Amino acid sequence: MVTCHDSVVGGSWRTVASARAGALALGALGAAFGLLTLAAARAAPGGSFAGTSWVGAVAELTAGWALIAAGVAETWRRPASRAGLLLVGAGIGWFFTEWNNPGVGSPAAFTFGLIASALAAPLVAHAALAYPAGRLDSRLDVGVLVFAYAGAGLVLGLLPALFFDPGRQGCSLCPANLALMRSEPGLASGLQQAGLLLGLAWAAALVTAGMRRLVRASPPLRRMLWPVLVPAGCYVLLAGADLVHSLPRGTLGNDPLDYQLWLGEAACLVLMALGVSWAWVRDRRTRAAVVRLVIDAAQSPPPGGLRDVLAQMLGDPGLELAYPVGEPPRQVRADGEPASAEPGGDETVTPLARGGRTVAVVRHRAGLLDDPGLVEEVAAAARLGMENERLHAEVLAHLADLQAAQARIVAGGDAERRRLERDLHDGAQQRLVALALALRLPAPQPGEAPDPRLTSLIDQVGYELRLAIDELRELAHGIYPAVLADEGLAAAVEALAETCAIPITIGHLPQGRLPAPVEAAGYFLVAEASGLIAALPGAEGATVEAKQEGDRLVIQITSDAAAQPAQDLEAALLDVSDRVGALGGRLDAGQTPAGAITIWAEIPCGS
Amino acid sequence: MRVVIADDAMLIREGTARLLEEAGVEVAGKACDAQQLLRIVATEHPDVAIVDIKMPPTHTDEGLAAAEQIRSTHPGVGVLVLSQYLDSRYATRLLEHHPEARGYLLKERVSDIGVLKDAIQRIAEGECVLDPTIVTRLIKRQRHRGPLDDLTDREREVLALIAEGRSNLGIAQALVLSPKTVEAHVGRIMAKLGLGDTPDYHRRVLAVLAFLRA
Repeated sequence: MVTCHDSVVGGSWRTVASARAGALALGALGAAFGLLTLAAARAAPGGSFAGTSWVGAVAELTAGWALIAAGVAETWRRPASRAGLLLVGAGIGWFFTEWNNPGVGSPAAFTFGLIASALAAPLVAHAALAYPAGRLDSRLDVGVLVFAYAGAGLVLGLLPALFFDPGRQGCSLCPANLALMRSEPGLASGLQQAGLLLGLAWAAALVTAGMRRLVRASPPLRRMLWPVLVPAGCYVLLAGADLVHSLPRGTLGNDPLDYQLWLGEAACLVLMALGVSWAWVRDRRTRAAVVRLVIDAAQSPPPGGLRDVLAQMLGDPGLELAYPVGEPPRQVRADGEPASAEPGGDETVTPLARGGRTVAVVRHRAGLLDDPGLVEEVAAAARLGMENERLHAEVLAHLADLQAAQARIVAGGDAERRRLERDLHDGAQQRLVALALALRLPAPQPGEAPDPRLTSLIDQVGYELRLAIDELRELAHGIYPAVLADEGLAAAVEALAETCAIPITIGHLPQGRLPAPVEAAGYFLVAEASGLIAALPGAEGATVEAKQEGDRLVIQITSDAAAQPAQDLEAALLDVSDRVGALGGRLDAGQTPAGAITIWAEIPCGS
Repeated sequence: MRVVIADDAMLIREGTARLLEEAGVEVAGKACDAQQLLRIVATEHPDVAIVDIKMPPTHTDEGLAAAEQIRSTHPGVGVLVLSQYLDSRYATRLLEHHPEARGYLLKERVSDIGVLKDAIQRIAEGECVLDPTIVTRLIKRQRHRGPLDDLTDREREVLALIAEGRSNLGIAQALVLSPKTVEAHVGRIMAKLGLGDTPDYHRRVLAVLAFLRA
């Protein structure tokens, strides 16, 4: 699955502005509604929680306003997500509870309280289950919420209200019930009872849905979810406990235990609002870390540093950040190496785009960047750093291309040399041998003595042929020694020592086989370097040593006596140096403190 | 004397066979690759198999592998490997473990029937043969000062013949010396090179070769 998010998700500015304005307006209305609720409660404290004390008043307003404020701020940060509006809705829903108050005076307000007072719990649960994307992940969540809304709004709200006649059910102080259709006290209390029982069921279902969501979320998403889901779950549990407490009574009430539970609910909602703001703190920290990296990068760019920051901040150690380079584009890591081709089973690829152009691609655990807002955050925060790393990666990728091309050229040259050597051996030399042989096959000349001049001429030609064969052999060997291809570096260096103009002392040589280009580079280095040393005045000999250190072959050729190089050594070894360089190795030539010439090379030999 | 010849180059195979036949050597079979050679050896039991080092399929060292195989299946059959390579490495691979009845000559020797016939003769008698050019190259190799510098010219000649796989008698004939004189030379050479007294002929060859290659 490939999801594509543009960092300007949210569409036009108009949409963004109207979303923000809407949230702000709703929030303002909600806040005012809270004040109105408190005023109503204080006017009739007997039927309220908030009106009884300052503690109650503070709890009422703090819980509601905290959720509203968190919702407005969330919409401000991510206008595209409806999570903010749902939070504002939950905050307003919290105030509904207070309107279930017989002393509220106005029939309209009393009727509203009868119907809506139980809606707070589903509203809060809705906001929590839809956080942070503002939409519900699964059909199961949708079903559970519909169940809860129906249970709270209909069975516990509207339906009993249709039959609840305050006058006949012992509430002489109660205002008129505007929703009353027919006075059926038995049916009304029966429905109330059923609503309470049903409430236990939907409360349990909501808590289970929340837990399921936490368990199924990817670790990074879970880190973002639990500060919101856990307090919301506690809130629903307390609301459920209140339903249990209300069962014997047959109706929701406000005795001291109800009040204690209500205070607990308020505390949970405040924590939930804080949980929402905790995500901002985390995002801010991510952003700060990325910005720090960008500043650091301006001084000395650490390739891959951005990946490390993202991996750490998003909690996915295997996260890979790749940049599209070249034409046609291919993806490389910050160090210029090709990125992993296909995402693994539980991995997803998320392109980070700017202005319709993919700047980078994040390969990460599935679910990590499901929230478009998060992608937006990452893309915005990492923009500068990414641009910097992308350029760096591009340069490195080009360098790698060049080196690969160079290695291919050298390998192609070697293959050509090898072919030439074989052609000379199997073709020309073979023919000369056959010719020399044919020369010796005497033509039948019965009864006739061989012409001595002819015999001498044949001997002469035979001698010349042998010289030609020798020269051809030397030529072929110089082009590409068969022993190097057949037997490897050690055997080829030993063969070299048999013909070198100076004594060669052979120290340790790796006996196993190495990749052919490495063996060729090593061999030609020894050949060139020993030839160079042999040409120096007063040369006495040279020592060759090679060993494998980890995944590198280290070769050193040292002259046995102090000598003064007649020319620039590195310039004289340019060909070999290119060979070594094509394999990503390096060559160094210089003099030991004692004045001996030393030529050293390090060649990576990992295949 | 019966030989078989294995070489994938038809001209050389046929030419060598004709030259050998005219020199009185019986050519019992001709092969163009190692498999065919092994089949002919199994049926003909020749005294010596003359084998090109490079044969199909890889054209690298099939001849050496065939020599190894003949040793295990037909220990009584000698093998003369013909090679393009001067490097002593290949020759050493042929001789180092079992030098008995093995020979290594450069390919172009086939046109010198004298050398070729002599080599086959010696291999059939169980000696080992190494091409003089390779030996010369080894002896001429640049070295730091060492025991080789203490040898007289005559001793160097004798040393080369030892390395070529000659017996004392062979050396005496080649240099026109008495066997006793050769024996004295050999003793001195072995002492000077620090190789000790090695009475066994094959071990003597190997010791000298190892000394020269070191």
